[in-house]
Amino acid sequence: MTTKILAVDDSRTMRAMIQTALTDAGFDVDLAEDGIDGLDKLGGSNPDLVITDINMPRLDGFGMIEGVRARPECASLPILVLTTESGEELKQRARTAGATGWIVKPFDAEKLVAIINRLVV
Amino acid sequence: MSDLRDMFFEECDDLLEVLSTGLDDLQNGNSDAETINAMFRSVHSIKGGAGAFGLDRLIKFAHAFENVLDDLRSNKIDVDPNITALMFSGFDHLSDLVDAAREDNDLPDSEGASVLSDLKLVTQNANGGVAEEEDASEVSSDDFVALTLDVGLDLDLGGDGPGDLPGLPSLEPVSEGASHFIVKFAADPVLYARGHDPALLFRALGEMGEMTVEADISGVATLESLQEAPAAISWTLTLRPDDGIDESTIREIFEFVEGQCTLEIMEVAAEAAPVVEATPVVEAEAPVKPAAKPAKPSAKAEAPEKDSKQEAKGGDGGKKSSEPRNSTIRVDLNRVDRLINLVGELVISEAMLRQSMNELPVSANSAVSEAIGQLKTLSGVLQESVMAIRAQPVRGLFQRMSRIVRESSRQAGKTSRLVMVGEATEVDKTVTERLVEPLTHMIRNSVDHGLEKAEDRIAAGKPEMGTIKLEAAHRSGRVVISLSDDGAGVNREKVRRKAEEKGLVRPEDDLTDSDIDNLLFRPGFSTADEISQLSGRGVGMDVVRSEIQALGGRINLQSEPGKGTTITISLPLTLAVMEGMLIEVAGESLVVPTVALRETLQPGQANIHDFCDGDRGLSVNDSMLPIVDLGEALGFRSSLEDLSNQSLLLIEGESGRRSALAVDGIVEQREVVIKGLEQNYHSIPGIAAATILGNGKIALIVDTDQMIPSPGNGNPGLRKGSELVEVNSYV
Repeated sequence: MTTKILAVDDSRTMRAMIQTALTDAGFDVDLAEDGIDGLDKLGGSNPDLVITDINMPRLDGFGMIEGVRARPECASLPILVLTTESGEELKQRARTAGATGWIVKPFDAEKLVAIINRLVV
Repeated sequence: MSDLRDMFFEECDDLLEVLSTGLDDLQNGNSDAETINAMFRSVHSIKGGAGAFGLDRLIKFAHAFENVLDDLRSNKIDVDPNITALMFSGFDHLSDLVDAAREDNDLPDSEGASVLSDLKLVTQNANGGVAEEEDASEVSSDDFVALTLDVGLDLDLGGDGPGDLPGLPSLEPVSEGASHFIVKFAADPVLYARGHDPALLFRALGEMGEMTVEADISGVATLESLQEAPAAISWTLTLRPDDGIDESTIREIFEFVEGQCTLEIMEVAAEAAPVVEATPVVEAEAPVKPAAKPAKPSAKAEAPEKDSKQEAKGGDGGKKSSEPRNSTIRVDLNRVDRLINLVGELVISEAMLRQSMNELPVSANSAVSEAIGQLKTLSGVLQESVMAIRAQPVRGLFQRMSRIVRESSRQAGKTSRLVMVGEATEVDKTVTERLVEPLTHMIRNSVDHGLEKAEDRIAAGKPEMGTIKLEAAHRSGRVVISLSDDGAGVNREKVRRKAEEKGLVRPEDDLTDSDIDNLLFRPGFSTADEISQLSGRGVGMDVVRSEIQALGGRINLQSEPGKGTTITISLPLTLAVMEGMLIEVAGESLVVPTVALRETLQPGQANIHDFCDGDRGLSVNDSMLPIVDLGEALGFRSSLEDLSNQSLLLIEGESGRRSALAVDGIVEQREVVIKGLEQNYHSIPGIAAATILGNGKIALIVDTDQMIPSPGNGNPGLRKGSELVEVNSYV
């Protein structure tokens, strides 16, 4: 079965870029616009991995990660943070919230795909 | 990629609009925490996208801007007029950078340099005078890219530099004689909780060479004593690495799980025991990094507490998400235009069908007539709905103007503010786009010529800061946009004198105040004594008028001495259809826009008066209007001797002046689809556009404003070549 990825980012440019990169690599991609949208789509999408931005309206990336981890069925779902932020403090917050990895934008498609392949079966 | 690029710049436009709205709110004291958050996210998203396209200068500037917004939202600095002004300048420069990047242009280095350094200074002062490290924002895009690739959540391998990347020269060369690695790995429970799977880590490691895996399951509890918490299995992996694999590349596999496991990597020289015989080392309790262990229990203890918060947030989130959201799709404008054109054709076909039906012996009550009637209603609704797709609020246009006010005030050395009213009013996209130039010109004129200098304002008892008001509203099927200033108003004496000097009017002409005000729209007219850097020597208002007219609009200027000037632009809601009166002249079908029509008359000979040089006037309601013989004016035939059998259409122009159009017959009032002529033909004096009638014939649409003689408006008698006809001279 094709690997399903839920990508959450408030920038439609960024969503399109992630979608292009991951679809080209053979993944199935679902998109969401912010944390709340992401959590809404989580159930229906049933992804193998989540990619999320940090700065988003309504519910930011930290809230999104906490929301994912709060669901028992998603307790061990890999969550990658994809953001322009690179501050250690923020990384620590993401780690505490339950993030699996942290990638700084702009991302290199190959590298992103390699990381995803390392996280999903 | 170019699609993505286009998408990015489109998104930038939206983001800049959010930023602009936020700035306005900030300035007007209507801001709250979310205002600043939204502004921050806008700039942040611009930065993020700019990073993807390697737009260094944009990244750098957005970063500095974002830092100030971050300081604002974390209350390190307060909103004050200086900060607001700086952010307005920042917004302007950010817009410029986006525009330059869109056009692949480079702005001069000096441009925006002072804003950038001011922004940085604010952040520096807000953070205890410490300048930000030269980081992502400050480096070239190559470094920026390199940085992005390898910042693992738990990566702490002495920097984010390229040295940590696979395939690049390693930091430490593989030691001589190294033949294999022994990796001992034991996962903490948290590792599983964060979405990791040891099997996948091992698989990645296995790709680096020949590998064997041994699991130590001695720690696994018996069924009776099984507990959920501790991770009981540890592994020993023995890797005979391929060329170029060293300890750092192996560590990289585990970069995301560092701190969530015990990991020991040992290099074993060739003379050591063969791989197959490597004894499984089961020392899960012996951590590689002893310091990491004690830290973990506290992290675990934190977890449940966090979880309860997550629940709370999740619940909150669920509630928010149930709020209705307007979902939108983005559609290529060409597709919309094609749709609009097709619907236009459909409306024409419908009209043709209806006309053919009328010629058939079919009862008006028959099913077919009813169906046709329904078709008419539906195509009307369809057309309206399609037009609504193109409509967009004038907010974006107005916000662009706010910048023009700031810039022109600065250049003119005046202080002024822009007040916007009715920004939500929707107008056809083409109209808003084509209004940018004329409005820009009008605003520059208002600031430059309309507003007085500060000392004059104070002397006149007005506030030092001038006010420019931009207002939009829908009024009787049209969009009315008005621009007013609270300046000195038009100096009519001076305008009249100049107009006479230039031979635009004669000294004996009797002009109303409104006539004089509207002289400003005459080509080349100017009363400014000094040529100003901003608006030049009055160049532009005539251009403004012709641009507005090209949009099917009318422009009018009203002024009150000492109080200010208001310029009103009235525009059709759409450029595609209009209501018109179908008339006949010399065997030709023509359309007169209903919007200009005031009355239709069948005059008796008694009402028509002959004057010298062939001019004729119509006496109606105690006033005298010039009669324009349309057939003659458009060159269809020579002037008619007898107008008594003609129908007369009373039309009114933008300036409020009227004239009577003499036509052979009035057919009916109907909605017509406007087809531009200029693209296929060229601009024809007296003709605004054309349309296709129900019978498939083409009818020209009359440009009524050109059919009204006035001092501000040249000669309607296109074939006559006579002097201006002055209305009041008939009285």
